[in-house]
Amino acid sequence: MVFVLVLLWIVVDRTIPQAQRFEVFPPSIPEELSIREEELPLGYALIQDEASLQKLSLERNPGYLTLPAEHAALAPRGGLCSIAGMYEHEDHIRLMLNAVYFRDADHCKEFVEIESQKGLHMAAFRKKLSRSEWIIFIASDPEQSYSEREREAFGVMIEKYQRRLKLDLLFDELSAPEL
Amino acid sequence: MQSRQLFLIRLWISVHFTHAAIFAEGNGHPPPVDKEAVSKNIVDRTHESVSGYIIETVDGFDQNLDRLLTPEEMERNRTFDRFFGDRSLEKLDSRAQVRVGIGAEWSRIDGFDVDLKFSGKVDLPRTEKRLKFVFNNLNEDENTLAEFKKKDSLSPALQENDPGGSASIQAALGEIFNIKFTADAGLDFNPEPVPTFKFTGRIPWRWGETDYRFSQRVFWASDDGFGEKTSLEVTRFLSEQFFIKSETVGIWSETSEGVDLGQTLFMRYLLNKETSMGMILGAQAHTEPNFAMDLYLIRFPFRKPIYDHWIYLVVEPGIDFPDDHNWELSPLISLKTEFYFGRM
Repeated sequence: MVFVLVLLWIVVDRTIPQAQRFEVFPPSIPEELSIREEELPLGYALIQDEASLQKLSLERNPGYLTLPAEHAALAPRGGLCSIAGMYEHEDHIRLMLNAVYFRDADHCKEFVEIESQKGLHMAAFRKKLSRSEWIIFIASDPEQSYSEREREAFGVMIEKYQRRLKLDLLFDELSAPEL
Repeated sequence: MQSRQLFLIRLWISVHFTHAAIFAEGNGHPPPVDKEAVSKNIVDRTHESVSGYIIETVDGFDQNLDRLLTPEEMERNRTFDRFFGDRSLEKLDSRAQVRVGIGAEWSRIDGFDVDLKFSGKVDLPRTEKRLKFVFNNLNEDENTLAEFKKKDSLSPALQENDPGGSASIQAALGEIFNIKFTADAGLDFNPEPVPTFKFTGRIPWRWGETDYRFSQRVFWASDDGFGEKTSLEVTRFLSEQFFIKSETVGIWSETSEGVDLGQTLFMRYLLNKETSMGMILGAQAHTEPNFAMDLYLIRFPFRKPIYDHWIYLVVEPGIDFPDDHNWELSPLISLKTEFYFGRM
């Protein structure tokens, strides 16, 4: 039995590269939290062109945010890491996702409360883990206009996304019609 | 000057007539509070629109100032902020409030006068409350009886410096051994703009039930040169409704007669949450060429909200005993309407 366990440990140790085992930001998480193609409204897609990624200093889309000002703003509010995803429609950034990781539920509650009062077209979700939480925002651009049909499609997207990741919907101003 | 006074009198009267029209439905009393109905009238709509403009202006000012102060590598990303807002804002409620007072005053010595006062202090949330934008049309640095907010009560030396107003950026520099330091840089309007710099240290402390605050301020204006102001405030709440405040002030500047000294004693009693009455006693003196008293005065301010927590009526009868009128008893009365705009 001991021999089998030792053998298993050696196999695992050799199979997973050491660099990956010590990785703090696993590349799988942005992929997992991103909105999938089948969930997005018709005509929307993940942006892959370099110029657009450069706007957010993203190496990959979706990927971990490296903006120093955003880290400086999140750290005192309890946000430990942040993920962004950009989605285009007819060559414009029309939709953006941002997921923020919190260890402390109190910080998380306070953060959502303040962000919900900013009057932006956003939907917010919570993914509860055993000892921490992700808060995920999906937002449209207030400087662009969106048709009523597009807003309805966002509603459908929100439902599919929420169901797949088993999320709690905190608020939805994204699918609400524009005034 | 006369046409300005005439304009202010007309404005003031028209505002009072507007109030009268609003309150007429209730036989002179404010109508029962129906928030929806009230929000439909023109006074509230004007207030909302002016308040909205103030909040928007302050926000734009705050954003631009933040951009100027922030190192390039720490600048916010505009694309990200367009979608998710500015995450550096932990509190949305900046204290953007402006007070405008329109009033008229009659005194036996000066006759009838119309007065327009404004003041405001605005927190700038993007700079994490390190900075404040301060403006007013009362230069308190050169006024030993700032409590009275009345230029005619000042000594002749100070009347020469009749300020048209001032605007400055105030930075909280920090706190060492309970001494709070602030620095102001801005403009005084005399009426031409005059650059000014102020450096202030404040030591607040509590002894038993009484609060003390000692302040020392050094100021420089490009036209009048250097000056300094030393003050001691003592405040004691005798009950939740009643408090007494004493302020002793000494000011030296290159334009003052030696040191100008002022002493005020202010007592206020709250009749209810927003209505108050009080009494202010004051005295002013100068030290050069010889020590001499300039003025004694007494006021009885009464302040009451007259419309929806943002319009107040202030009535203030009083008596002056000025040296330059042989200590003759000089009665006066002022009637003022104060308007508050911005975040209430």
